[in-house]
Amino acid sequence: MIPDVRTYLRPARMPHILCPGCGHGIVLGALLRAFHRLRLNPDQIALVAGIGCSSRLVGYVDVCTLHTTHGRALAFATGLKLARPELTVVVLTGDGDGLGIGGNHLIHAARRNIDLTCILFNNAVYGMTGGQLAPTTPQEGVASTAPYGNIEPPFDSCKLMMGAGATFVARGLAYEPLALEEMIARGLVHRGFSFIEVITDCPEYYGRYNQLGKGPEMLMSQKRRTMDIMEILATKRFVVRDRPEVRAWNLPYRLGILHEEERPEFSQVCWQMVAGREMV
Amino acid sequence: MGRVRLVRGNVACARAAIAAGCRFYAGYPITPSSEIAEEMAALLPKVGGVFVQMEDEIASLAACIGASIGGLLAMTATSGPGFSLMQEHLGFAALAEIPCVVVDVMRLGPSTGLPTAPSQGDVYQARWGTHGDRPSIVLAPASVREVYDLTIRAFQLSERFRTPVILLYDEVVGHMMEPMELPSLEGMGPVRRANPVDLPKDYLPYAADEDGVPPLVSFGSGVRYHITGLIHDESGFPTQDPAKVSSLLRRLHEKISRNLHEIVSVEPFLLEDAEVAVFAYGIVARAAREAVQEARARGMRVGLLRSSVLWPFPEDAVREVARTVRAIVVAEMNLGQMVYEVERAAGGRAEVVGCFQVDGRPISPETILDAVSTLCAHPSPSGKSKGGRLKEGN
Amino acid sequence: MRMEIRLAGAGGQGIVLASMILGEAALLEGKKAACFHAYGPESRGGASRADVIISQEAIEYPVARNVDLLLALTQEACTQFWKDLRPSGMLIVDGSSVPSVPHGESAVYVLPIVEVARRTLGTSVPANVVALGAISALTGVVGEEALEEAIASRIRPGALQHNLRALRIGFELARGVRESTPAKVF
Repeated sequence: MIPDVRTYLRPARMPHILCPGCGHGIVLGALLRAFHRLRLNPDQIALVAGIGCSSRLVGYVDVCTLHTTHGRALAFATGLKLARPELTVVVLTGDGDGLGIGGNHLIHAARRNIDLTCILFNNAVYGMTGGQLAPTTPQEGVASTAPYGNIEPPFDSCKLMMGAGATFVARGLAYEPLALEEMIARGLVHRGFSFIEVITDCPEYYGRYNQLGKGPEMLMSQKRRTMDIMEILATKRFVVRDRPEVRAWNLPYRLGILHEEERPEFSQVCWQMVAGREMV
Repeated sequence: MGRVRLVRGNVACARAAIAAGCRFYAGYPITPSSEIAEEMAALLPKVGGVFVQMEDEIASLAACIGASIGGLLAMTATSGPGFSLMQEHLGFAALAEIPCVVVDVMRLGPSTGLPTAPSQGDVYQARWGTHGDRPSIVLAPASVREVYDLTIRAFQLSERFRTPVILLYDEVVGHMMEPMELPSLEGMGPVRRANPVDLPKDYLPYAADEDGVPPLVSFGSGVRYHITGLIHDESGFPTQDPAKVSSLLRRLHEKISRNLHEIVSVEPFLLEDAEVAVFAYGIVARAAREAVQEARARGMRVGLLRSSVLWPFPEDAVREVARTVRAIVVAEMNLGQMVYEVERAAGGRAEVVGCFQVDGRPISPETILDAVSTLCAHPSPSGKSKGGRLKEGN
Repeated sequence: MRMEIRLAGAGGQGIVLASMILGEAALLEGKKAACFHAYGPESRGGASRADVIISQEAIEYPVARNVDLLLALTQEACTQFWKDLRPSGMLIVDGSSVPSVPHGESAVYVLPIVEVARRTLGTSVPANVVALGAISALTGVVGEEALEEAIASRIRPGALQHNLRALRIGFELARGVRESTPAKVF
C-alpha cells in the first residue's frame, strides 16, 4: 500500500540541485504521480539515468536508482531489464545525453522495442555544463558555444523515435503536468519501448542567453509556441520563422501521444528463446 | 565427461565463462575475439542465460554492468579498438564496484592496425586506460587450458573483490587450438548471484567489511539503494567531503593491495642457478620456455619468470629474481610496456633488457635465444648494471 | 620429435577443418598436437592456412617456424609458403591447381587431389580429406584408423561415408606414388 506520492521520494536527499525556475521538478512530479496512480511497488522500479541535470533526479527517488555515464543509461538499462524482466525500468535522459552522445543507444533501444520507459527532458541546451549547444537547440538560438546563434538544425526526437521503431511515442510540456502524468502512465503501462519527450526550460542558461525570461515566462512561451503550431498546422502554413518573439524558440513540434503500436517486446522474446532451448 | 579434443582459445574462454556461472553476455563483434561471442550466443540460451549483441562496445560493457546489478554474472569480449571504447565503463564498474569480466584479445595497433595479427600492446591500456586512479586486475593466460582456468578465476576474483577483471591475451592464444577436455554443459542451468542475508535495517550499500569489500545486493531483491559513478559515501550517495572522497578511493585500492596474495601468480622455471632471467607472459612465455631449454642445452644458465597475472604487477617476485640474476630479458610483442615495471621492481639490482617485436608475428624462441645468448656471452664488467637502464636487444 | 605441417589453400577449401582432423587423429594415437590458423580479412577465397604441430613430447611453442610438410592446394599458397618449408621438408601439391612447382631440396609430390575427388566423388569439396589420406600414406605421421575416428567426430553423420571414401582415395592415390618415389621418413 502506497499512501502518498511522497513515498517515492528520498526526503533525506533534499534540497535538490535544480535551479529556481527549472521545469525538471514538474516532470519528476508527473512521473511520481504516475507511479502512484499505477500503485507500482518501489522495490520493483529501477530508475536509470545518464549525466546531466535531468539525470541527477534519480537520486531523489526512493526506488532502485542507477546513475550511470553520459549518454549510456539506455545501454545499462537494457542489461538490467534483460537480467530482471519483472522490473519496471524507467530511463531519465536529457537532450544532450539522449540525442547527442547517447543517440546511438536511443535508436537501438527503440529498434529492439525493449520494455523501457524513456523520458527525455528537452531544455534545448546543456545545462549542467554551463549552457552549451545541444542537438535540440533551435536554429538561431544562442548557446555558450554558439555565441552568434545556432547554425545547425535541431533534432525532432519524436520523428527520430518513430523512424527507429519505438512503439509508444509522445511529447508533452512541463507547462502541462497533468497531461504529462497521463502520458507517462500510459508509457509505463505500454509493453515495449516508450519514448516521451518533455519540453522543459533552462532559465539559468538558455533563457538568459536568449532573453526568454524566467521559468514561468519560458514555460508559458513554450505553451504559446506549441499553440501557434496547432494554429499553423490548421492553416497549413508550416514555417514559423522571422517573427522576433519566436526567435530561439521556434519549435515546429506536435504534442500528445504521437504514435502507439503493438510489437513483440525484446526482453520477453529473449527469455522465450531461452526457455525454448534450455537443456534442463 | 567430454573427450580430449582440439579446442580453440576463444572457445575455451566461452565454455569456462558458462562453467563459472556467467549467464549474461553483451558484445559487439570484433576480430580476433568474435568466436567468444559466437560461442556464447549458441550456449547461453541452453543454460538459461541471455546473449545480446549491442550497438557498440560502449553499450556492451554498459549492458553487462546493468545485468550484473540485476544479479547475473556478466562478460563481454573485444579487441583493442573496442577495448578503448570500454575504458569509461571499466572506470564506472571499478568505482561503483560492479563485478564483470572483460576479455581483450589483443591485436596489433594502434588504430585498426593489423586486425588479424597478435600483439601485447594493450598491457598499459588494461592498467591505466580509464581516467582516474583505480586498481586493476589483469590476467594473462598462455595456453588454451589456461584460458579456461583463468576465465573461471576472473569471475571468482571479480565477485570476490567487486571489481571488473580483465582477461588479456593475444590473437595467437585466442585462435590456437590445443587439446583439452571440456566439461559437459549437462546439468548447468540458470544461476543468479546470491544476495547477502540478514541485512540490517540501516543497511549502507557501500559500507565495507574489514577486507574492504562491501556485500552486493541485486536490484529487484527488495532493497532500494543508489548506484552512481560519482564519488559517494557509504550510503552510496554523492559526496564532496574530502575525508570521504579520499576514504573511498583508498579503500578501492586497498581492497586489492592488501590481498595481493589472493591475486598475484607467477611461474618460475629453472631460475635457481640462473644468471640471466627472461620475464614473459602470454604466448611469448611459451617461446621463452623453449628458448630457455635450448639455452640450457647449450650450457647457458638461463631461467624464466612467467607471470599469469599482469596487474597487480608481481613486484616481489621480480625483485627476488633481480637479486639473484645478472640480467633480466623482458620479451614482449610491443615496443616495451611491462619492461618498465620490471625495471622499476629490479631497482638497479640487475640489468634489464628489452626484446621487442612488433611485426605482426609472435616472437619466436630463436629471437629470445639470441637476446639471451648476447647477455650470456658479454657479461657487464661490474657484474651488475647499477642504473638498470633500459636498452633494447635485437 | 616435432613435426610441423602446414595445410594451405584457398578459403572455403576446408583447410581449417582438415587441420583439426589431423591434429585430433594425432591425439587419438597418444601424441601431442596443436593447431594454429592464420586469419586473413577474406571469408571466402583468398589464402587460407592452418598449421598443425604434432609431437611425442609436450609442445612448448605452438607456432610453426620450420615447416616439415607443406600441402598446397593453390598456386598462391604454394608460392607464398614455399619459403617456410625447411630444406629437407616435403611438399605436396595439387597437380591441377599448382602448375608451377618450385624446385629445391625438398621432396615434391604432385598429386591430382582435386581432380580425383571430382572424378570419383563427383565434387571437389572433400579434396581436403583426400589430401589428409595422402599425407598419412606419405608420412605415417598419423595412421588411417585414427584419421577415420577423427573424421567421424568432426564430420556430420550424413557426410561421413562420403568423407571416409575420400580418405581412402587419398590414401591409395599417395600409396601408388610412394611405391615409385623414395619417401621421406619422419
